[in-house]
Amino acid sequence: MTQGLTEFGRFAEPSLYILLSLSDGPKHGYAIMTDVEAISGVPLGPGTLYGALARLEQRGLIEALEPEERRRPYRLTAIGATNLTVQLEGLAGFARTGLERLREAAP
Amino acid sequence: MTRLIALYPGPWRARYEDEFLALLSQKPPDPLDRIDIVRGAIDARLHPLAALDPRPELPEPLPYNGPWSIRRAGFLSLIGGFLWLATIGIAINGPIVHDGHAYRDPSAAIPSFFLSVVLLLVGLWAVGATIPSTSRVARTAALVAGLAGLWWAIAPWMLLLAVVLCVGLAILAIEAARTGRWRRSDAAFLVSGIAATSAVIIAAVAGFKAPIGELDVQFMALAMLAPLWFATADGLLRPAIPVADPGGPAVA
Repeated sequence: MTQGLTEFGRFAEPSLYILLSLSDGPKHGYAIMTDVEAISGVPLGPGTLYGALARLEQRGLIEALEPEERRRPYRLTAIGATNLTVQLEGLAGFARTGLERLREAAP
Repeated sequence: MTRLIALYPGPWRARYEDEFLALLSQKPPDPLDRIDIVRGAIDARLHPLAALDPRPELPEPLPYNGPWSIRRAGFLSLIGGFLWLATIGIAINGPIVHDGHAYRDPSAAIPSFFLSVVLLLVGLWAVGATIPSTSRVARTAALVAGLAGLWWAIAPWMLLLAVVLCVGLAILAIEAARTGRWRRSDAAFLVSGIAATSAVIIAAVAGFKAPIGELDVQFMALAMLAPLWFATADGLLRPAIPVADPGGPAVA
């Protein structure tokens, strides 16, 4: 599901959610947290959020912008957008295959 | 809250602490969040990110203008080390002479002794040429050790010269390790050889009986100096940082 981020370990899935959250524009930490919870239905803890942000930033998939007061927004880089596209296409193919099989198996 | 953030490593806090605190001021953490923060801190300590904790930059490769290539000097030191052991072997098998008192005549080993010490001096010269020009004490020690070593090569009975050579080489090796040119293990190996030799000599002077016979204690002590050659060779053949070596390939 998160093939491109497997090296992130337990941060792979939260990282995918963060990339997805940033796909419609820069966001700071709190905005990412609330958006991820809205997308996935699963709350993202602050330790997990920053563990994933640090890894994504190190890989060059996101970049930090100038802080606004103390909050620092992040945005998706071109590499991050490509990575997200590849992962979402993989997920779309996975979902398509699953749905086709279920249809074929249905009586 | 600051107590929880204090669990994170310094480089992480320098980069993220402000925004992390801003986030927590917007959403005060519940007990599960606190556990998540502790997990995050453990992870940050177990898997420090290179971008947050960059390793200190290594110095630029050192210019080397000596007459010998670094690698060649390293190989010559290595050969010198084996020759030194052979020298001890020859000396320890010399005839026992009774001239008022009994002693072992090591004169057959003098040519190989001379050659092995000269090969050590080649290594010493190369090490001295690769340490920073600002390491004046070590460079002076190398020069004094070189002159003492040259003198000792032609006058092996003058053991004070060997002491000067050893002290100079130890200072040079420690400086090479301190400035990142040598691995610390090489410097430690060299110094341990000198320490072991000193210990045997002190024990012999104090009257301890050597297991190989009283006449051969001095040779046993000298054999323990072999790390001078081998540590020097390793420091030259496998330096901790690359050396710009016009006479051979760059080595790392």
